[in-house]
Amino acid sequence: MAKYVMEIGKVSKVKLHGHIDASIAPEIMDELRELVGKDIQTLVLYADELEYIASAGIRAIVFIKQKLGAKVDVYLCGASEAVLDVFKMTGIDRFLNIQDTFEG
Amino acid sequence: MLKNMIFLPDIKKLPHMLETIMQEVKKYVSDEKLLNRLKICSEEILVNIIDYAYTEEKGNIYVSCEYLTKQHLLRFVFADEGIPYNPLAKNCDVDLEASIEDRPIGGLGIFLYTTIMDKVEYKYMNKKNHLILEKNLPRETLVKPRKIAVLLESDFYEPEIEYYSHCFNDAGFEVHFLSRLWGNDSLTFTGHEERKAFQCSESFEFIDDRELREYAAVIIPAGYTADRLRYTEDIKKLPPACAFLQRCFADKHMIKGIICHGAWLMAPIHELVKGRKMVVHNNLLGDAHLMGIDYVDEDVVVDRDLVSARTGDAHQAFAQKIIALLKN
Repeated sequence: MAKYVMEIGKVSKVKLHGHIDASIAPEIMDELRELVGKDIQTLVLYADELEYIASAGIRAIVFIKQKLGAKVDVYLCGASEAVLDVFKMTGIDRFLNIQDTFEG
Repeated sequence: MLKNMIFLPDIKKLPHMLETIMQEVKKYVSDEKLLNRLKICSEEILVNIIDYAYTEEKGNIYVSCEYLTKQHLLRFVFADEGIPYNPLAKNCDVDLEASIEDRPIGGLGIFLYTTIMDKVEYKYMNKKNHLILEKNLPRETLVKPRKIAVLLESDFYEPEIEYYSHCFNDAGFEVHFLSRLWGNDSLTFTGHEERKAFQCSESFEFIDDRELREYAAVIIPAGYTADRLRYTEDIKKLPPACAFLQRCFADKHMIKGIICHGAWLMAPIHELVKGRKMVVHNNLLGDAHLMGIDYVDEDVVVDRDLVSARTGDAHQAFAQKIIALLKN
């Protein structure tokens, strides 16, 4: 059972939670690989329970965004200020739709 | 204060390493965003050492964390015994404008810690790689001081000291009664009115700069505390209590409270109250004039970081005014 990927479909859902440091990021990377090659239009990353993320976690998100291609919209929902800070510092925020919740 | 830590380069131990380092950092920093950033820096460097330093031989990761009070500077040193490797030698800039497809997957870690920290330096010495990182800590990011110092000696005014014993703690602060202990672990002082005993076991003589920063306020109380504490056995030297007060007055963020006869203790260092708005006990009007105090005829007077009260009887209003200023 996946710990992070909740749903694979046209709208795929991933729940990021807890402390995503470099000791955890490979697990997420492995789960995200499952999305590659699937018919996906939208990827929603739920981050309301994400307490911490560093570059290893950011890399996993850059990886999946690159693999899914430009046509897939990626949403980041409910991220705390501290978490958003890391996305902004790395400039990854520009490739994501950042919002509080995801409707639809 | 310098804290040295040693870890094994095992990625599974990363959460433990980060927790240990952050426990130390939290002694100084309270700003959540900055804490998060400092944790990220620590992680990026630790992961680099774990991934690259010990591919052949095993060794340790040495981390030190130090807060330099005077410079408001936090300094980390990360060291390893791996082959000499300078992570800063490569261009660690990340093109933030590049499209996501063009973003390289590596290099983000170095980019993050060089961006977050104010100074990053690499040195190879004693057969170790050293990465030295410094961050200036603005005051608003620092842990707020919670301690209140009340100077104490015999012939104190009992109702006042009894009130201070609980009112600051009730307001979420931590009261510390400080005196000169003359080499003793503690001394028992007696009150002026009823000879009530009060045991004092902390001295202001040994408070270093780091500990002083934990103090939000210092109070010179009523009664004869001030007069007794202005004794000096060496006439060429300031009384130790006055030397301590000089350091307190140097910190404009620390509240100084002087009540009733407390102003006596300012005589040897009167330049610190010269021109300041204050009230003193009526008995000290002449002293106030000689010290150059800008006397104000009110029960409690506030002049920025200086709070004064006329008599010991105003101790409640005086203490509550200090609490209100600290909570503001």
